Amino acid sequence: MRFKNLGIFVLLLAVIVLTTFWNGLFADPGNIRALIRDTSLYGLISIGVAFVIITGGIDLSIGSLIALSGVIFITMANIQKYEVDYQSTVTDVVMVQDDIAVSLAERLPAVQAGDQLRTPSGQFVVASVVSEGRNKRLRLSPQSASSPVVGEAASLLRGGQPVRYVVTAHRSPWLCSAVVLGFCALIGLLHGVLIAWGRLQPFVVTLCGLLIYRGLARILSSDTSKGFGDAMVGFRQFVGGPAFSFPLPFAGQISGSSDAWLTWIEFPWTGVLLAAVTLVAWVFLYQSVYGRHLLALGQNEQAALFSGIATQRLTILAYSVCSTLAGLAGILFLVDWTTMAPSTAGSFYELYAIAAAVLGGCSLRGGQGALLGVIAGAAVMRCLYKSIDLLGIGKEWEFVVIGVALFAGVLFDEVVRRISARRQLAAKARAQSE
Amino acid sequence: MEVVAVSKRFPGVQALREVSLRVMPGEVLAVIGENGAGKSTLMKIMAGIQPPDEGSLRLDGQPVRFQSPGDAIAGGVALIHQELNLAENLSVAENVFLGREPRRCGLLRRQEMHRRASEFLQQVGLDIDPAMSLDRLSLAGQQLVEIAKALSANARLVIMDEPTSSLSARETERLFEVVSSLRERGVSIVYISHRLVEVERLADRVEVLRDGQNAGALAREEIEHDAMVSRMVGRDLSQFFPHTPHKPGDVRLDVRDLVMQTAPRHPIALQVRAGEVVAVAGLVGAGRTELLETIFGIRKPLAGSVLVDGQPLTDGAVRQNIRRGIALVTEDRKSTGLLVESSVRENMTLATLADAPAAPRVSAAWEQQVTGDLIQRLGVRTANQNTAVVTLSGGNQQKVAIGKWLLRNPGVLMLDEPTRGVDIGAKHEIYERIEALAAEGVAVLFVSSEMEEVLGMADRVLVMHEGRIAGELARQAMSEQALMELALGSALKE
Repeated sequence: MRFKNLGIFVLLLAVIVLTTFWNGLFADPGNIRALIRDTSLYGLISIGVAFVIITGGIDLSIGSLIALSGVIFITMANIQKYEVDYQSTVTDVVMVQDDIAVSLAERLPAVQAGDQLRTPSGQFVVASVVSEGRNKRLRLSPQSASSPVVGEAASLLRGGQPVRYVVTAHRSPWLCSAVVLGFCALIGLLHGVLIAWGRLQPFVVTLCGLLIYRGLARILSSDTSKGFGDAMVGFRQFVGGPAFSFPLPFAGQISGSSDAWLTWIEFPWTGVLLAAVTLVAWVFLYQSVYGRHLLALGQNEQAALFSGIATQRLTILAYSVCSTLAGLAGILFLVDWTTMAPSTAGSFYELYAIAAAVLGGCSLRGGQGALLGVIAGAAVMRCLYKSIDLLGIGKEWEFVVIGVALFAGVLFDEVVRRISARRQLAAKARAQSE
Repeated sequence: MEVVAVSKRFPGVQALREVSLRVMPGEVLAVIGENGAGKSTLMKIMAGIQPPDEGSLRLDGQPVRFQSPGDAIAGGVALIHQELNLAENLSVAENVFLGREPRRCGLLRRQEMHRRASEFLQQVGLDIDPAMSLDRLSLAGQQLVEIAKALSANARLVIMDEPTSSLSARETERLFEVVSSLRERGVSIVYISHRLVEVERLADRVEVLRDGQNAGALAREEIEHDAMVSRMVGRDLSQFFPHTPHKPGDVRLDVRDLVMQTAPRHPIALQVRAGEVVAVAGLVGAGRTELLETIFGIRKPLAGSVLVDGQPLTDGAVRQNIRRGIALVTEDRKSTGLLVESSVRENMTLATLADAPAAPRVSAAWEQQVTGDLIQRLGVRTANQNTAVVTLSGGNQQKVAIGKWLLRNPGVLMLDEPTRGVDIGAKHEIYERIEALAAEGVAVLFVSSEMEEVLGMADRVLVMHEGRIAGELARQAMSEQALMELALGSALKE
């Protein structure tokens, strides 16, 4: 891979080194983990929009689609709390190894693993659900490992007194995710069809999308904040949780969090997801015929068409990929935030994504792509955001600082490009005069 | 005006080398030369768009230095560009006086402007309302507006760069009348054209450029087609075209009553046999490019069918048609033929990649091998396979555009203006390549506006006029005269 977009890597390194120099807390394991997670989320939408930018188009609807997919996810999940009357519904409570198993009678909503069961004596996480005819048997694990399991079981077994339990119930988060992703893919398909077959301008189509999806998100949620509450703990812990830990030398000493020279930092699953998406995108763009065709289409649509390339299908594909990744990011953002306000969530995110893509080496004229550069672009913006906080610059400076840094990055690239273009011309002149 | 030993160097090219010429008052001086001979650069220097590296300009014997087009206009020199420099959304009068509007206290004097604009428009034979919007005029009308604009700025020297390249025959006549009347009023004209017929009719003197140098001048009585060509080409024409008689084989391209959208009343039927080289001649706008694009499947026909080796093509399905063995080297390689910013290799394999042995994976080894073969076979002069096509010369770009299709071994190769913007040496190589392909049994159908090319290369020529085939000439019957008559539609009217 050619590093035509060297500027962004230099900028990223500069931001990291300078901020760490002024404030060691930047190297704190928690901060690094948070930065990786944030970069992953913004990186996903940036790679999505990179596909569209490569075709010479633009997608302005990403931020709104993030809000809409979050709202759809929550609406779809249909999180409800049920009060369960002990005497009428709990038929049996037994100890199974270290856990408690509660059998519930019929007419209960779909209780999921990871849900909570709240009783006067404490909270329990539902570890698994087994259906037994019309009844359900819940295996519970106590919220805190230290609390005496036997005592909790005993409190559940207190017969004779009317005790109310609260059970949260909802549809499977995996099902909801699948629906959201499918919906977003359809939205992208619609964008692509309007642009490729309908010959409408990408800017206009996705600008209308920006307005419409934001509006739909507010209508669907009645313009109120939506969130998980205490539901789907298992799903959230898994998605937001660490995949593995990696050692980073000196980070502990710089941040003052430990004296060991190796600090273990948790690498979140979202980072793994971004890596996987990047790998697939890389294979598509640089190792497959389709990627070559996509770049050709972006550079000169007419020439691609005259060479027998299915330009319309590729355009539709690019918009579908972009919207689907926006939907995926929407779910992950929701997991990160736990609640979201449909009128503001994801605002401006399309611009962050576009900025990252352009900084990373995608030309808005189309035909030029990059993947690592785009991720670096997303990382620069998250690091800058954090730096503003850590260096004690006021929050109100956020946009100014990010704007100036982006401008510097673009300027650097442009200067490098012009110098190399001049060298190329000179080389050509020399070759011809020989 | 006098140009004295002007030189100009661009990165990589010596565009002009000590070129001199002199224009007398009330004279039409034609400047001719092949593409890349330096005509346009010379005109730009004369009109102040670019400064010369060496040499000087004199106006009425006084040396002048134009820093900008504005300086040149103030000095009485106006350039009428190939692509017109007009604001299409403004009115005719506003265009004539753009930047020099008559005004009082900063306010526009619209009536005054319209009155004076009418005067100048009449001088160029345009009887139109100066308030009308420019985009309602035809291209020819817009060109006349540009001339009126030059006159309104008191131009004494008008430089016209390929003024008839997009005009119809009637519009060309009208332009000639205007040029003649300007000459009578003492305005000097520098007339740049490829069309030697026009030059013969119009010019008082001819100045020939070749490879950025003066290559001879012709006085009025010496202006004659062959004399001009031999000075432009610098060698004998008969050796230039490597034509050998072919033995046509089976029909490879069979166009059956194809009805183009641009000419709905005239179905077109034609056949090209294996080993045959067939030219499509005609004036600009006769529908030649449309015909090739309709056969190729980029444009949808209203009716009719196209068969390649007996298999029918599908309209609008370029991809499948290419797989059936048809290929089209387009007229405008920058906008429809090549990815100019991409490498030679990416361009060469673009149309074949999806059918390559490793597809849908891209095999770098395969790409390198086939590109290397093509570079050698076509004699593409490039530093390496990764060189961006934009840095190559026009001739080498065209070789890449052709190579892209040769990789597919097409049975039918269509070429639209195969040597436009190509230097002489590369032209010859392209002709040799076409000959070799025909000898291998490829059916070749090419469109060309260059008479010599048609006469030199074709076994047979189809002449188009206003969307239909006006006639067909076998090689023995081909002559410039016969071609021109068919192209002008005279035979049809009789």
